[in-house]
Amino acid sequence: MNAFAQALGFGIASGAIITLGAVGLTVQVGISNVFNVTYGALMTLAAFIAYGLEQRGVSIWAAALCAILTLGVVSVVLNRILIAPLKRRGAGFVGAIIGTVYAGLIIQTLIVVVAGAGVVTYGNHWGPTVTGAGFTFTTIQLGIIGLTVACMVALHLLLTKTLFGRALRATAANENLARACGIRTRRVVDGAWFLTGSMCGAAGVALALTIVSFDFSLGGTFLIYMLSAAVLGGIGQPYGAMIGGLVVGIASQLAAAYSSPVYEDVAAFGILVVVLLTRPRGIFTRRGSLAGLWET
Amino acid sequence: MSAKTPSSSAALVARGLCAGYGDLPIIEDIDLDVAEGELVAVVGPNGAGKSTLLKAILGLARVFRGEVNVAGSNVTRSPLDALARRGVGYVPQTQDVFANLRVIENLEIGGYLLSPRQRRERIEEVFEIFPALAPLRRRYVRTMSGGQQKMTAVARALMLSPQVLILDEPTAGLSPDLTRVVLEEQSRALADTGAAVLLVEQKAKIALQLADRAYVLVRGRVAKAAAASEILNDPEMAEVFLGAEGLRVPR
Amino acid sequence: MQYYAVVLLVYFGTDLLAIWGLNLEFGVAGVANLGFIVLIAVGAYTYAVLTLGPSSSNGAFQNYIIGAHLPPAAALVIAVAVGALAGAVLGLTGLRRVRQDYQALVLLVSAILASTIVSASPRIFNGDQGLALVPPPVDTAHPWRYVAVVAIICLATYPILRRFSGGPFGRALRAMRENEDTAIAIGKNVVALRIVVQAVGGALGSLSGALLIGFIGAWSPSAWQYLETLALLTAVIIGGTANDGGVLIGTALIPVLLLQGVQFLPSIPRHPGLSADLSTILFSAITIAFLFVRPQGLIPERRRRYAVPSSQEPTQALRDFALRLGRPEETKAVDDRLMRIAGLRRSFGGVRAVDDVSLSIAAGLVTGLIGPNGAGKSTLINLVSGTLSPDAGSIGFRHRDVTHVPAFRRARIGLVRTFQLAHEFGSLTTLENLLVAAQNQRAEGTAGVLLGSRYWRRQEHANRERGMRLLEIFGLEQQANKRARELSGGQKRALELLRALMVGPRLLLLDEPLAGLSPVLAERMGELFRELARDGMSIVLVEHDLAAIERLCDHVIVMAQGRVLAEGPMAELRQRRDVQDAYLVG
Repeated sequence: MNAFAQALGFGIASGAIITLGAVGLTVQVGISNVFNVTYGALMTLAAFIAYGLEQRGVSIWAAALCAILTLGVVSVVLNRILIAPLKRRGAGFVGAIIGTVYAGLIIQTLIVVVAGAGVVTYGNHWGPTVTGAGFTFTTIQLGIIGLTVACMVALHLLLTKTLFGRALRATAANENLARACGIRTRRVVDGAWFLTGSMCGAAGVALALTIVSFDFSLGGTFLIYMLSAAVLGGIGQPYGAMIGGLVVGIASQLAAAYSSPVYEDVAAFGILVVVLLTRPRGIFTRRGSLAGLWET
Repeated sequence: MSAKTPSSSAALVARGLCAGYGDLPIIEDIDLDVAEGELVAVVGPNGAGKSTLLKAILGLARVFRGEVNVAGSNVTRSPLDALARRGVGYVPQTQDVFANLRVIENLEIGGYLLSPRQRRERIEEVFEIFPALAPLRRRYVRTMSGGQQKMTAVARALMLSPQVLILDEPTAGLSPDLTRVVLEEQSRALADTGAAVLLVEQKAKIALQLADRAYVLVRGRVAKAAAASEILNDPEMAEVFLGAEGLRVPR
Repeated sequence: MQYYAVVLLVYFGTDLLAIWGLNLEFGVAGVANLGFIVLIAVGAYTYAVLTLGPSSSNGAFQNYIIGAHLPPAAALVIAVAVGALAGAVLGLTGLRRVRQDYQALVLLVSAILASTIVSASPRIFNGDQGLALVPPPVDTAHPWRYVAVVAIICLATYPILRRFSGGPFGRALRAMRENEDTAIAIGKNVVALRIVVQAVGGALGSLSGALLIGFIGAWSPSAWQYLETLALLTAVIIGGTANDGGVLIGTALIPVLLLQGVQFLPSIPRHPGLSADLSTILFSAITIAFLFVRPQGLIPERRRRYAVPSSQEPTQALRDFALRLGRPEETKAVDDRLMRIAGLRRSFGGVRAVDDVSLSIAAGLVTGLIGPNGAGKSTLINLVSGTLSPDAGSIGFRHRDVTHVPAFRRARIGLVRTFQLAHEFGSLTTLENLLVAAQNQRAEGTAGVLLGSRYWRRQEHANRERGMRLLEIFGLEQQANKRARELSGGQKRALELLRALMVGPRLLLLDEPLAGLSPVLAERMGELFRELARDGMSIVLVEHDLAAIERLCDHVIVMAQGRVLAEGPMAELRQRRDVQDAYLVG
């Protein structure tokens, strides 16, 4: 078994989960102009909801769907009661991000209060392994890759072909002006948070299914990967995050394979720092075209 | 530029409007009318509340008291998107176009509420109103000059065939000669559409030369409301526009 | 009971040190270091591996590096130094200018990463198990001695802290927090300032960690998680950012009472740790509430007031003193080509905002820069001042090539700009807005911080005099102790100009200084420009009011579509066909 091919395979599989999460995160930053650090804790929440339902006899797939939809709703609520009001109050970017950090801590602590601080385990849903072209994947990994691809295609169609997609792009570009065109931006923003929240939930459940045993810190540590991917591709650029997810996934798995497992995290963080210091706007953002996040 | 008297079925009516931000009212007791096909200017010194008046009408500032009506229906405190659906067009002072999109895409978003066929037809109509814009339809707006961008902004607002069009300092940031051209072109085009146009302008002189009627706002209240030509020729009004704003100006 | 008191007091002292550090970084300087906890961990681990004996000697009970078995005092000092270094390294994340929340997030993530690495590397600091049996600096048979040690260290540290958070150095930090662009425009090296602040914060955090591990005797990754950082941050937010007194209250409330104190409550049998979890949720919710309602904290930042001398009509001599460029040794400018620009180019996403511009600015003249919107005037100003970097071309100033000189350095050699919308330092007073712009302040240098106010007091006094004289030009002296954000629009614009003058410029770049001003005020400003030019200053004026340009400018440059279209006296330019066309066609 070629170590390189194996690492590459893992990289693609983990890249799929990272992409799923990163695209949701980057779109949230794109429409609200705030880094939603609660994202990590929300992923964990989804994983635990699915776990809790499975413990009560629900099939894992139904449990996952439930968790995903719940996260969509929770994200809409989070924006409505925390993020949008903080922005309105003029808390500034730093104030808003701090707010989401604390909200993440609250959610994480609630999970501990309800489900305990210990490790929980899903049933084994990996399915039979599939081998081909030197790669080996479990069925669940293939499923997740497939899901991610389907989501990305759906997102692309949504953004380019539907009225909602057009309204979303207008709202992200200039909310006030979009409203002046008659677009119900509140609904558009809610819809966007529901979609991205669902992606967050999907990423959380997918991650939990892949590593099987996890605790309350699941999403918190995964934040590094999604942030890295989003920043690499350019904040607010969903297509950038898709590529970023794949790159970060493969890079981190290769780093882990060729040295020690802890380098998985280090590689992702390394990419983040390199982008930050050399080209903060990411690969796909043109100079001066997306205002606010960085100076030229 | 005749002095029309406002009728009770005027397209835009504000009565006893008192508005501001937070707990602080900036404008008080404002009565204002704009009839169909009229161009009304709101002028006044810095800090008089001209912008606040517009924002109050558009639901972007806090309305403490008073009423705003469009074509007879009460729209006080309506959110901006609801107003757009009622036929109120708005061109903000800054960020008035989708700069990273093409001209034609701006117009398409402007026509969001229309059916695809209506949208296509209306785009052609708007290009007839602003013929200079037609050859630029596939240009990215950020690559165009200030005057062309403003034209795009107004064209975008016209996509909805608004009954009432509100312009916030349409010539802000434009050089004086361009100001004249832009305003003249726009007021001619807008007069043709029959919309009721309300515009706020810092450059009082040129706005008064093109408007039918005007309101002079001083410290949040209407100091004078009359035909634009009357205000233009009133020597007292020149005084109104001077002011040292709390600074000693030694000789 | 006595034991509880000792524990709480020690925690109060060590947390206070850490919070002072975080407050300096976040409250005063505006650096949201969400990864601050790493610095505390650095201090704790450094102290531990320096005071413990070699790891092999205890039969591999725990694995760690070094193991130098040093005396506690030495280990403490080294730990502080290492902390300062670590803080500075973290500060390097701010090397490229990015938005503050982006940087804050990177710091947060770096803390998570550090914790993960330590947990996963059992040979460095014994991984997840952490280190134990760390020798205390003071005999544990008398725990009150420990309290005394902590108290003495706190008392000794406070005056050192004040050197950084107060005085002119603190003022520069606060200015940087309020408006980074403006701070750069008055010559502050914000990158260096941030690194220094994070080094000092790191030293304080480290000290805190070292003292804490000495007391507890053990330390593991579970002691420095997300939660602990946020407890400290909450103390800063609740206590009042940038207020040292308020911070005391915040420290007492959050880390001490809520976090540690709660552990002394009896625990509920079926839910161990429930009270700790509930207190976490509580303080998180309280913090969020504060962000909404009172972001300036319980006790907001103090204003610095200065005595206002009785106002007088400034005599000519005094005005000259104020206006003189702050460089008494240089009187009239000697060279007539003060600035040379050659082949300057800058594009944004494919559009040539400035396209091969070459021109020169003479000394002692008022030069106007006009042109229709989108002509590239603002971009040119930004390129000359250093806010933007060019794609090609060169800029020479006073016979120096400044093309690659950073913006803050250009301000220091006399190339000063103002901004179109007034960019005042809102929470600083009017006078402080000017004081912070004074150049070569002894107080801001290393010597100044180390030697204290005696070293810079006289210079500060002179600067204060000069500042007041400048304020008198526009009658702002009565507003000297008012926070700048409370001034009217016109007053803020006047302050913008005065602040630029305080820097002592050779070349002033004014970006639409007259726009929106009342005609009387605009006229007065114009007269001031002409006076300054007569004294030898060069002024470049970007304006739309062509009548003002004609009145004020000796020489006018017309730009259109990123290029220089024409140059000359305004009267001539008016006649030119190509200039007329440019304005009409746009």
